[in-house]
Amino acid sequence: MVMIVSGLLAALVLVIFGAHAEASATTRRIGRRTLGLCLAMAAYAAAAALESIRGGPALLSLAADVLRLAGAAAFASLSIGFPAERAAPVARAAIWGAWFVAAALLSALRLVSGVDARILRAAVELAAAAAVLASSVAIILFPDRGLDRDERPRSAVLGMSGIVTALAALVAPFLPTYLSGPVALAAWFVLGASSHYAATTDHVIGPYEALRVILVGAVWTLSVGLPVGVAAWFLVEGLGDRPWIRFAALALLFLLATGPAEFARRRFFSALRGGRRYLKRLEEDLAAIDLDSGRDTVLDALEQALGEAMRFRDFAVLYENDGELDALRCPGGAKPRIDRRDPAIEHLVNLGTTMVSRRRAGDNRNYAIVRSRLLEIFDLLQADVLVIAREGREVVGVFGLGRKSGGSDWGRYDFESLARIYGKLFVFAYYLRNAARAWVIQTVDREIALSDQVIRSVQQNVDRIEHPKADAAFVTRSTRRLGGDFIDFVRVSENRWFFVVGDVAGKGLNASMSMVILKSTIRNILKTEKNFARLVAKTNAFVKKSLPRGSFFAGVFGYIDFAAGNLYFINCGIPVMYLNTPGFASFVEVQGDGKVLGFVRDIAPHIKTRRVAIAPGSTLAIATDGILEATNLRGERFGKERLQRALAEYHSYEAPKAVDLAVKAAYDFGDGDIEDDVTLFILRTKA
Amino acid sequence: MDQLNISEKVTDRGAILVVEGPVNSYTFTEFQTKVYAWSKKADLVLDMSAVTSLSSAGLGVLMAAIDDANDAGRKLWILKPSEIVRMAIESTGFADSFAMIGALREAF
Repeated sequence: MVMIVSGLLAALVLVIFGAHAEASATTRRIGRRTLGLCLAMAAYAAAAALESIRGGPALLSLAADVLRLAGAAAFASLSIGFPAERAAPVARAAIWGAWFVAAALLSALRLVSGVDARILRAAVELAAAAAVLASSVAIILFPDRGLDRDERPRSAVLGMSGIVTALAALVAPFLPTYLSGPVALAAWFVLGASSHYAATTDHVIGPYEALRVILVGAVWTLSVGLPVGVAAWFLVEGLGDRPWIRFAALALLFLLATGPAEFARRRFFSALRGGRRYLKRLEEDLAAIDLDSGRDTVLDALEQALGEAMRFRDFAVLYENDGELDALRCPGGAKPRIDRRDPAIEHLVNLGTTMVSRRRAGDNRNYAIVRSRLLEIFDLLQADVLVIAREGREVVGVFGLGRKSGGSDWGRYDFESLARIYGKLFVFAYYLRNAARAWVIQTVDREIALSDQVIRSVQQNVDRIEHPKADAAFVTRSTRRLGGDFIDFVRVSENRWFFVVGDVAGKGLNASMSMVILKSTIRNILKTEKNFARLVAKTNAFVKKSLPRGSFFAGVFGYIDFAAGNLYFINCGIPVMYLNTPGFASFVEVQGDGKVLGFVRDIAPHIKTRRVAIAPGSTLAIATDGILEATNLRGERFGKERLQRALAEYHSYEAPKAVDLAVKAAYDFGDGDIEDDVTLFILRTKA
Repeated sequence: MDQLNISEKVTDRGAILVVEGPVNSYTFTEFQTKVYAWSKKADLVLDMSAVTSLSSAGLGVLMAAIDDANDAGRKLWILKPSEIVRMAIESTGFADSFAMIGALREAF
């Protein structure tokens, strides 16, 4: 009875260990190999349990032996180079070839030659134990040379557990019958469990982590195992002397128990394992950080929000500064400086990596050529996880997140959460970089001093439309100097320009930073996304997910094709676009309906690409809301009609002068005081 | 009226914020703080009949508050929006997503 219940329970636990290892091990191959080992051990445990049922199928005994050999082979295969990935196809083929031959020989001896099962059982036990012992001694005495100081303990844990298992398994055949089975089962269970531990745990020689794992395992085993054990006892006793029915009922019980066990692991023990759910709260805390509050306050708030959620000890922030990554914050007050062209950083950028853990850096062969340097950077920042804030190849900053408090590991949930907040971290990195630069030119007016120069340079940094068929000009003005209006042009080809004109909602520095970030993000998206509507949809997703809460973009995205004489655009809430064509000789609104970006999660169903012909002699004028909302002392708004009249009045002037005069008209109307940012763009096409 | 005045009334059905004056870059923070504080914890009616201006930042607060209320399973109504508020809301293209009502009984 003890053998039945403990065998089934061990099988259940091993299946879940295997599934967890497959999902959580640093590399997919290590995860799969650990899964294979755990499944082999689980099948063996189940077969060993079921074979002990009186009158049970005789073939189960053979299956248990074959599976035990498979477990030993899986362990030998896993141990090659562990925990690093080593292909070693020849060695693994030899291992599995030997298993196949042994299994075939065993089957022949049992089924054809009729050799005594007990003798064969002992031989299998000894052979399997010898294989595990040899593999374990090999990885302890001859560890892979490429292993670093973080990997060696994990390799040693695997080796030591293999030795313990092998010695127990060697002793088992010589014990009394009633002890022999349980001892062997316990020994092989330990092998599966410790392989799972070594494959999924960062700090294997950590008392807190070991204690936590043992505690979780004990609670989990008892809470799932007790009900399953009681149910198994009732089944065995209640079904009487009908072995096949008992066998089927126990197998069914085993399968049914797998679901609740996995559910319990995920839901009820995640807290104990350090898997506390914190993402929603973290997102709220990050959204509540006010970028207007100053660099150090922002940095403190960021560290506090991340630290409270993820519970790590050390926090480091580097920002890009003239080709170097300088420390803004580092454990112990250190001020490390890393060359932006450092091979490790370059390699991460080349791989498209946005975050990497110390364990992955140590295990994964993708990082092999820069491994030692990368681990030096981890040491330098006292970090277990690096987050690279970058847009394309431009690294804006690096966050170093230290070892978790209490010794627990960075788990899958942590990385999923980091992926979810990556956009926000990028925004903070961008802000911190520009705030740090502006710190040098600090003036009394902090808000203006922080980023005005940077933002103005970004606003002016456009591919101005210079084409023989075009006369174009624009003006952007902000009454508080820092505004959210922006205009951007990107030359796509000789005759085509992409442009964006709009306003990022918000006030002061927050709006300005959002504008700068959005502008560079749109350029970045433009590099890879050639579909116009999808580009807008991706921009919407970025505004929604990554910019501070309450941000939205009202404007227009367009392509001008001078060769074909067409303008393609998507209205995203631009208040007015006028077109004056030679045939109509009047400024007519062409923008149609539009939806702002950043309100809904998916803008795709709401947007529409429009086309208008811009024949030679046409004038296109685009304005944000600031110019329309200029208000005079009587409370009247400048509005669309006055803008229309001003454009008509200055129609004969060249675009730069027409723009200035139209904007001046709005300022004169508002008695020199306009509350919102003002942007006006005029394009004239020539024959 | 140059100053923003926000008064709060709490009923057993929800909260009512009566907003009077301009929501602009100078007054926006108070508007944001009060709206965010209520939008998650109660059904909320924003009486915006006496709002004299609504900046894009203020409009962003309304949009975020609607999101918050939806996520929290709450409702947010805008009671008798002034012309300037209505125009700002319509400028987003998503006026249908703002529950604008003409009388308090339509909400509670």
